[in-house]
Amino acid sequence: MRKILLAFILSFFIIDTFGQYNQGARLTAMGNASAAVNDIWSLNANPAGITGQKSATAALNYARYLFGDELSEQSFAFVLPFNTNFAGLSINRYGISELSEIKAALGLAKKFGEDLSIGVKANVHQIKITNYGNATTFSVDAGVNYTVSKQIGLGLYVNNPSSQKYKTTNVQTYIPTTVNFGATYTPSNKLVLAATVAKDFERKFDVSVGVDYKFYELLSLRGGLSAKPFKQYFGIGLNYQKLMVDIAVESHPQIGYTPQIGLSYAF
Amino acid sequence: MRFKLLFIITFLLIGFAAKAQTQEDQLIKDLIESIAENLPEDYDLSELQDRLTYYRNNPINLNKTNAEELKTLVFLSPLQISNLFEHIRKNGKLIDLLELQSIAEFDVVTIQRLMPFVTLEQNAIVDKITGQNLLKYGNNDLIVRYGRVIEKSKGYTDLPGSRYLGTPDRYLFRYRYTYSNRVSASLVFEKDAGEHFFNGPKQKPFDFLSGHIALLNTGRFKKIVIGDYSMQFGQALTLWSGFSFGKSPDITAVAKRDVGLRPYTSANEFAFLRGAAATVGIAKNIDFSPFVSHRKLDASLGTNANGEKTITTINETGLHRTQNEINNKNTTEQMVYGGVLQYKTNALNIGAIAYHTSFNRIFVPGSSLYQKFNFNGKELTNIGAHYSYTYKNFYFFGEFGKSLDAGLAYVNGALVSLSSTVSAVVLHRNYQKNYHNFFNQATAEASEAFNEKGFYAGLNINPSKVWSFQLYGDYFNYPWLRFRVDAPSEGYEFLGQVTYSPTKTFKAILRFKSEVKQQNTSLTVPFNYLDNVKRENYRADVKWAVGKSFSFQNRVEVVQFKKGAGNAEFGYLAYQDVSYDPLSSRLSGNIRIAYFNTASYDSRIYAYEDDVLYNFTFGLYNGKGLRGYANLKYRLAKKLDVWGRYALYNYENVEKVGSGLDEIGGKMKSEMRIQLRYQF
Repeated sequence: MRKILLAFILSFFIIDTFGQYNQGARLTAMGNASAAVNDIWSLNANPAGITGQKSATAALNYARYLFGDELSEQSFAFVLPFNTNFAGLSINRYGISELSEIKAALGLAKKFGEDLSIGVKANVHQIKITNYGNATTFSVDAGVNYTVSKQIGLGLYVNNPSSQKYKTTNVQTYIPTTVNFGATYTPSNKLVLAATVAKDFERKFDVSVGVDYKFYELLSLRGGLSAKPFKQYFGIGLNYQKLMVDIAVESHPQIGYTPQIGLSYAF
Repeated sequence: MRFKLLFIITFLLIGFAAKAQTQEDQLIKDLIESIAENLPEDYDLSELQDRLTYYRNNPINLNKTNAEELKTLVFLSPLQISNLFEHIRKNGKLIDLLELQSIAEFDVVTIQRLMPFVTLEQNAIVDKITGQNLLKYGNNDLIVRYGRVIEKSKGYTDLPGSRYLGTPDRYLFRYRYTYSNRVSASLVFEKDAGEHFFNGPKQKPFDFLSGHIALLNTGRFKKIVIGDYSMQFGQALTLWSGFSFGKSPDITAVAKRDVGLRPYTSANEFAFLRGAAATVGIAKNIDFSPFVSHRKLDASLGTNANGEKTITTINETGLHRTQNEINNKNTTEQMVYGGVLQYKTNALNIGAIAYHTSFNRIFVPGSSLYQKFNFNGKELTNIGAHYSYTYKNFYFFGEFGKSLDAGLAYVNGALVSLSSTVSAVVLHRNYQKNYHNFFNQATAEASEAFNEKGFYAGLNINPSKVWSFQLYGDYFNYPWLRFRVDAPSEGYEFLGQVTYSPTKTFKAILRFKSEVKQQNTSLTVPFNYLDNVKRENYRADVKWAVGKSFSFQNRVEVVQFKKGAGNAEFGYLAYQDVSYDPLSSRLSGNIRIAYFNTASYDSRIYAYEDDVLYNFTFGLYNGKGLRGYANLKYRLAKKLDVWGRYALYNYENVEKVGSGLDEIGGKMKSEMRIQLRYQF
């Protein structure tokens, strides 16, 4: 059974899910339409998005894939602002005990005035298969955010523009090269609408849209859609002083529901 | 000969290229086109057009209206209606229509749409029912319409087997009487092409006859209807006769606008109840609507082991052209009775429905596996409960329906105004495979709301007067098999639309729609497996005006169809509309020239077509060729209007048009229609 699961993950999931690292429960609930959204988990999407943090923030996230017994993804992120600069660290682990991929990243972002911010990030990837071996590689991401007006923001980022691969022949998986372009529309301080168009060089265009609605000061409601594959997302966020708890559920027609929970604390 | 003459006159008049519509008619057209996106071909929308046209002539007084009446305008969202009443409750009666702008959720587009249909002026006439008032203040509206396909189709030739027994002429006669908001009556006769005109078999004297007399707003008796009527309650899951809108670019349309009991004035031969019904106020905020209906239906019959005649399928087309169709006519009697209890306040509405449907014969569904859970028997009892509740900027709605001794169904949703420029809709539905109901029009992907689960989410964004965005996504799955789908299946649909209207006379729309469903493979295999069937539509549409009399519309639409591993096929449509509608002229009209090229029926394209008033057409563009039509309207006298229409398909490289009895030799199919309206 475990072997079958392993084969399944290897053949489908590594490619499918590793394509995008988990963007935390808030961005996931917004359909990962994150190219122009500011969040601590922008660290796993557009690194320029971490410039929205007002103070040092730490976050944990846990996603559970319900089709397997123990397949999950754990992530940690930390962002530290100093002046107009922002440093970020993230560590992600995905897999089961026999197989896992770890990605650790260090990001740097800078605000140029009020409207423009740019971020870059260096990643270390490692795949580990018990009794089989390891593979390690590096990649780079870069992104930019631009505020057009009070209501409209734009974001663009690329993952792995130099198409780095694992330098070993016994691992088939690849590090995706993607270009993502997105916009946000913020008609009031309670509402953010976001859209992102993503192009992975090996796949079709994906379009996603998301909504974050602050229903009460304490409570946010979120939802999102993505086109390829067609997925629906929902989530809620609880915001109590410096502590935030985010819950998201992703619904995939074949895989079913993937719940996740995130916790973050702003110092 | 008569046709030839009309034909020639029509052709001569095309030169005057006129527009059959005023600006409000344009609004009605836009509205219908945006809301009726996903309707099947044979939907009769004349009732809606009729309703809107009626309000244009007899606008609703916003200070004296109720939610039910405003819901009949279909384009107002429940949240807007609720906000309007809240505004009136807080600030007193509206003094000026401009006040609408200060009400939450009333954006410019909504107000523009609403203006032609509402007023604040007090109706001066006394609405007491006396013989003199009825005669003096009543409105009479008489429509007589004639039309036919000009070429002779195969069904009218002397075929040995099945053929059309009547003439190819189509006639409609409709008389409607209204007196203030107190009395309404109508009489409708219709003959479809191919049917007998007068005293044919099983008809006395016309093929279709419908009528009603209604008494409204008489003390406790809010509505009393004798004759043909429709009942529309809740979210259309338990009791809803006639049409209802679902998924469309108007994303809020999934929240149904239930209008309760209404007299029936349409020429659709299926979607109504016949008998008597009433809505009575039995206590403050509580209405009770009892109803009873007895009518005959067309059904194909089979015979069971005991030699009894059984019902195989109910035919909804209302066509009685061939011997077979005539044999099936009125073969079944349907009896429906029950009641609806409603509690209504501004914020909260709750309703309970119970009714019983019985037939004089037994329903025996087919033996295919997909029909396993279909209704079987003679009698059915349905119960249901629905609610809607407005809390701040949220409108919650839903309904539960149960067929006794069979399945359950429920639908729940919310409409949320997220900010002054953004609103969102979510809707969850779960209809069991054995949910039986003969009056079910709930929001669904399939044409009938059973054997389906789904989740729908939509956004409507109007960041400024100039820009407007709509998008929705819907995921659905069918737990049981369906026709041509030999396994549980699923699919999804996505729509995005952008509207740009920088000035009053220019409007551009871009629309993308994608739908993926599963269907049996087209290959011959021992066991059918499912293939994904993808259909994508791309549309660009521009409307513009030159001067005060001429307006233009251009559209390009591309459809892509792909099944399984097969090659994608494409369909294209491009058209140019020109309409001419000078303010002071008696003559107005419009023309369309369209070129279409579709690889097969799978990549066919639909587009709204202008027609004579009250006749609603969605044109089907399939094959390769040219399509053209011309409509014109001429005001003969103050209260007498005449419409004419000539439309034609000219296909390329074909030797026949249509199939079966509708087959026509040659490459042309043309149709003419003429209509008179007398209002007195």
